[in-house]
Amino acid sequence: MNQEEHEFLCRRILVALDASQQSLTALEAAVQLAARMGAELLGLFVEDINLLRLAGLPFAHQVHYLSATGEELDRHKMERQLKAQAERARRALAAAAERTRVQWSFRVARGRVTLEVLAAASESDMLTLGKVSRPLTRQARLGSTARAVAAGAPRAVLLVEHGTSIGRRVLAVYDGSVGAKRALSAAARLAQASNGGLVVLISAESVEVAQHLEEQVAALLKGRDLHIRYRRLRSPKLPDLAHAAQAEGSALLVVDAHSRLLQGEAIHELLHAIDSPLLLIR
Amino acid sequence: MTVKALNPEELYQRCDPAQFPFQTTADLPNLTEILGQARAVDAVRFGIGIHREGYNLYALGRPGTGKSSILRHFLEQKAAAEATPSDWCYVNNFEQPHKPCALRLPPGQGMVLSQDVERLIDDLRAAIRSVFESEDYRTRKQMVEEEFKERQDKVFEELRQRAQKQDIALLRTPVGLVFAPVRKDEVLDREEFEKLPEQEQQRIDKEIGSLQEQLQGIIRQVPLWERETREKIRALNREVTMFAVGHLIDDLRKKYSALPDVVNFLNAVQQDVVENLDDFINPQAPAALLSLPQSRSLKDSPFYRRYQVNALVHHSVNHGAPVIYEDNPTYHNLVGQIEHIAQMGALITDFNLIKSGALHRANGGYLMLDAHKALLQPFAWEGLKRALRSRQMSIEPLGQMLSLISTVSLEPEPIPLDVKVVLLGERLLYYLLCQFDPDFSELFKVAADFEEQMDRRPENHLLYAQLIATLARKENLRPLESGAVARVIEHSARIAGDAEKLSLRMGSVADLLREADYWAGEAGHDRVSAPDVQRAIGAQIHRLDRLRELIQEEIRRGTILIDTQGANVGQVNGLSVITLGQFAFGRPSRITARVRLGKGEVIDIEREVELGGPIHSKGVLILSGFLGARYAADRPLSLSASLVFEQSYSGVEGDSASSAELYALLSALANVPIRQSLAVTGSVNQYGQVQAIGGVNEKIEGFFDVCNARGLTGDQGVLIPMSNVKHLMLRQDVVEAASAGTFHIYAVETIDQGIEILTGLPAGERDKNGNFPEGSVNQRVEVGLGALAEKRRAFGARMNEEAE
Repeated sequence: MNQEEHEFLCRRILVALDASQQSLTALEAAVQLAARMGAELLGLFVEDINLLRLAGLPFAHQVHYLSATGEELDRHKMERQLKAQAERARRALAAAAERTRVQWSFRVARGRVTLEVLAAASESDMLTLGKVSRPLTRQARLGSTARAVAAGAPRAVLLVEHGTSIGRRVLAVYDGSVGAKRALSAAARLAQASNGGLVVLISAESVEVAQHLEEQVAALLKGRDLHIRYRRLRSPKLPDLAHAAQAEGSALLVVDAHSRLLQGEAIHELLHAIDSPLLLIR
Repeated sequence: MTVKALNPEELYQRCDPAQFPFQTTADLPNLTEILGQARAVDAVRFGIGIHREGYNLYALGRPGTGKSSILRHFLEQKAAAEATPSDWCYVNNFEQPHKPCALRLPPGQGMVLSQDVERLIDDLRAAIRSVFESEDYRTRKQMVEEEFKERQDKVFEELRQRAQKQDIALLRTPVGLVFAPVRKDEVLDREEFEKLPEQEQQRIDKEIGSLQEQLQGIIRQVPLWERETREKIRALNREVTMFAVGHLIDDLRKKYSALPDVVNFLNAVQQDVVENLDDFINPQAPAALLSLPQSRSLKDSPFYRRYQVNALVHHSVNHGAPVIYEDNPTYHNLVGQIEHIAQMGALITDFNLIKSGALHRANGGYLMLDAHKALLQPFAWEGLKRALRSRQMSIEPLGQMLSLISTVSLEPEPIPLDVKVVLLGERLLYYLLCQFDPDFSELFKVAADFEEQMDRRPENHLLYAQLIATLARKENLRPLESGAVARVIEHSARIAGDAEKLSLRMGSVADLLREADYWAGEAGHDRVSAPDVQRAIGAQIHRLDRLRELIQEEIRRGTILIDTQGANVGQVNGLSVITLGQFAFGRPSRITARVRLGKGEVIDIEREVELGGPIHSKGVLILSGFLGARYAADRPLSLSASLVFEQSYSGVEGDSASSAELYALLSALANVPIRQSLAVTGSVNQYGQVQAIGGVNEKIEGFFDVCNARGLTGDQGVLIPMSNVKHLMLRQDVVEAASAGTFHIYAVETIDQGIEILTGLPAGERDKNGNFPEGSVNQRVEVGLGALAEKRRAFGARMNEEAE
């Protein structure tokens, strides 16, 4: 395999911010990665057009979550609220980036959140965001934006669960496919950068294949200064992958977005099932 | 009425080794009784025996009389047969932490409880941790939390669905929640909305209003549910903790079931653990909060310290009552103190830092203290008295007591005090305390007065020998031969300054025995012989007699004028004693008297220049009384006499020279020379009787040394009061000279006897006509005084004529 061909590029990391705790977790992960990879950090705050529209309605009324009191809304008020939120997001980004000496920029867009994020994502190498923004119920474990981005982002997407960190160890799922090789290469680079070792989760139908795949991985990663460990999935199925990833604890899971394991709704199931940050490679 | 010199036997009361039925002290059993201290021993027995308030002891007597060892002997004997007192612990007062509680435990149990509780806390920690880490607990806790979340989810979901049915979405704004009409996931904007039929608009408006009300109701409800959940989790924690902790504490509760206070404490521990579960599982030292390195172990963390048991006083079982001797009776060493530890720059304390004092340790037993030391230490005496008066020990640090420090400190619960205090000290201190401290007599009602001497009787010789044997055995000394014992007994009489007494200052006797043993070792003897004892005595003196030799030398060289032959008018050799530290020696002094016409005063030059003490002045004033009454009863005493201690540049005190002064005065008045080969000591009263004085042995030896250095002429000697003969224990060389007839000791009872020896003339007694015999000293004195009176009369008449 030509290494150059699959070399994982990570020079610009986009982080979608809305100043929620969840997005700040994502920001922290993005900052860590940017620092390790020497990447530039792009912050994006989207002013939700839906909220602005709503504020224009004659009966617009918001209920404060902390006090259960109601308040008339108008467009002006809403804009002020969004502006304040954007400012908080910018400050959080600035503080985190300054702390790790990462280059950064910040921009505010207005529109439908998902569309704006996807559009911005195409201009970066990786998009980072929280799995969910501000959940009212736990049914919303995966927010609409995350759901859309996971399925349709043009580049790599890093989805971060609130309260977790990316750790130093990197997990890569390998089944021998081209996409898996790409994911493996990315995982290896990240593992080298974070100096935390690489765990390759071998997804194979049989022991023989698994062995063969392990040999492949060894060959592919030959010459890299990297501590590699193998873990065989019980079967090439999603629940086993999720189980193995959970068992490894705090680590960054790197998966090819087009992997056979993640067909259809499977990607959402995986995001539901695991706590660790998930990096989807395209 | 001639006075003969004393026989050599009277100069030294020998102790005959032949009277002893033993060869060496190794043959003698130990002395079991206490020698010569019957009074003190009775007092000690009484004082120890009586159990009433205020019956503490004061043992008074000079150092070295065995106060300490006798008391210790009695106290230890008594204490061993008494019940071991309770142990005392301080434990945390969970309700009022600044007032630690005192726990009383049977002897030996204090330490056990402390260890039990320490182990309990370790076990509790492990048990509680394992319970809280267990799958069961987590699941139960999760169920409670889940219940809350489900409830919350359910109402929001219902609300959301209700809204959805009406094409209304629930959206989040940066600060709250809003409802918005939607079409295909897009919120309608104003234009779109206004395009809707009026009825539809109103429906949406109304629906949203209703939804909002419901939402507000839900949001109000959530904190209540949260609280409910927290309460449930707390109850769950309590339940599982009680279960985990209960059986561990139950074991201890059962073990200490006979001690309600301990059980209460264990209950309080249980309660506190349950109430402070989070701290108990994850105690955080303040240092950890500031992420400073934590040097101390977890056990030192303030949180665990609160459960520890401070075994303040602990005794071994069956050890009897304690006998404590506090050598350094400072206030804190007596009443205990509360220490502090520095933590992050601040001084903090807790009940674990309460330290016991001697009173705590001696509680239920006996406390021995040196009175002088206790009085010297600031506040110690007051602290001791307060404890004895209140019969309880409350630990109050000095800083707090004096309000020097106003930080919050501890007020430990007072512990009842039942102790007998024994003070050891000088007599003077006892009398001063009686005089000036009203509390003293109330608190120390028993005085044990220790004798310094005992009678020297033949039966006591053997007891004393036994005492010497006991001492020698105790000190691991070589056995003493009977001769050596006899010599020690003789020296003991000399220490007592009385041939009929033996010294009970066993400190000095023990020193002599140790030193004699040393010299016996030096000489290669395996038993201590009389010469070894003699050598020890000689060496003791030699180490201290530099000044004596200096004075003797100056007398020999004629710097200090002392005549030892010939005869002079108005001049006599007096004798004084100089005591320097533990060594006393005699020194001859020339005393002179000059007389002239005057108004009957005897001037004591020493007093005029304030070198004489009051007793000396008293002695001199007595002389005028004697002179006036005896020689000038019917006419004015018309002399002016001056008396002086020649070459005396420091003070003179005591009246032992008053007889010498009188002899000098009589010699001057009678114009009769006095033999300078004699020296005189003794005080005199107004009737001319010679009275006893102190230091007679040293005085005689002092004059003997001067004469001996110049060569004994055979007519030299010393006049001493008759009443001092029983005190004579003279040095061997003096006794030998007396035996050889080269030195004489005369014991006189009256001035007349003395003056006869000194002048060689009869003193003379008044005949029936009231006249002294012609040529007698008294007659000459009377004549001398008569002449002075006549002169004064004539002088007075002349003065009158001139005046006219």
